[in-house]
Amino acid sequence: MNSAAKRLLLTLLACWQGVALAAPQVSDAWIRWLPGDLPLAGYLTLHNPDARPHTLVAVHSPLFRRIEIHRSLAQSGVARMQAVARLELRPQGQVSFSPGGYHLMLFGRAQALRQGQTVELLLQFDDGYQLRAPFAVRPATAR
Amino acid sequence: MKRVVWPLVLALVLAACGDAPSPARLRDIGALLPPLTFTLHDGEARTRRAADFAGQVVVLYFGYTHCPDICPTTLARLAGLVRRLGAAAARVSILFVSVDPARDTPAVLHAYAEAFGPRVVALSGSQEQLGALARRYRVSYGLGPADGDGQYEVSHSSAVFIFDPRGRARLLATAEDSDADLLAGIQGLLAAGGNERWDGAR
Ligand SMILES: [Cu+2]
Repeated sequence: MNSAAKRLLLTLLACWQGVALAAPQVSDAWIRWLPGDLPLAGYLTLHNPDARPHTLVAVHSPLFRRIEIHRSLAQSGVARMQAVARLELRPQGQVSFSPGGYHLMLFGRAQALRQGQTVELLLQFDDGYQLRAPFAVRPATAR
Repeated sequence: MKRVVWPLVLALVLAACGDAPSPARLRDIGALLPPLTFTLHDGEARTRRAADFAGQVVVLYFGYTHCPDICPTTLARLAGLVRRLGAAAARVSILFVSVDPARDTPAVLHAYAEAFGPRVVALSGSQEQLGALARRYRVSYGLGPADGDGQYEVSHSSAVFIFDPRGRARLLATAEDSDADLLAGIQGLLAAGGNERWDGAR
């Protein structure tokens, strides 16, 4: 390989690494425990360190039958929820999923969940990027 | 100058001498809504009536257990605030009224209330019983369409109604009200006393 090709390869590698480093990240991820098989809410903050937008399109886990992205709304004193198909993270932006706002809605537990346990959810982005995020299972009374 | 000041002084004196001064910055619903009256059942399938809570400050919230965000968030907040009252917490009952009796059987209500601690009582009732209570406090609720799994959403009032130990409707709180205002509101009603009378239905 000549030096020009080597340089090109190194540049491509650096570039690829740059992309990997700039991928979305998760912090403060937790699930509010509720008894039985009641649907649960998952909360987190999504960070996008990249110079281009990234869009969350789905969340999966073998621990739940179905996971949806939701947003709670209170309109003229009435509480409702709305499904969100895609959630765009602006360049260098962040979106927080927090009580009373955006939440992951987790339906149908495949096994019992314990408070204090950590479970992994797989966040799927529109460019095919997948992010494994650990969520702490907190008591019903967590705030 | 005096002409401006006197009406103000009079208003302050009247406010201070009123029969039921509002203890906090939450909305005062004393003149708007009737005293606490209901017949429902609890997590042990026992009939519970409003008069069972005479002498208690009652914090009333409508919801359903399959609501993963707003309902548990509200209950966690209320239970956390009431816990901060220490010994006085025993004189406060948080009543969670499920408007989804089809899914919220007594067993589900029992486990749900238990998750939020000893001051939360989960109740439900027949459509007639729930309808009567909802109409009384002018709240609406509605069942959404079922999805493939038979799951459905229930739209419901996000308001928290607070009653004094005599069963009188006193304060209305929402998610926008601060913890401090909510706590002060409940403390004010506890301090006002009036445990000797009951204004709701027996
Ligand atoms: Cu939801």
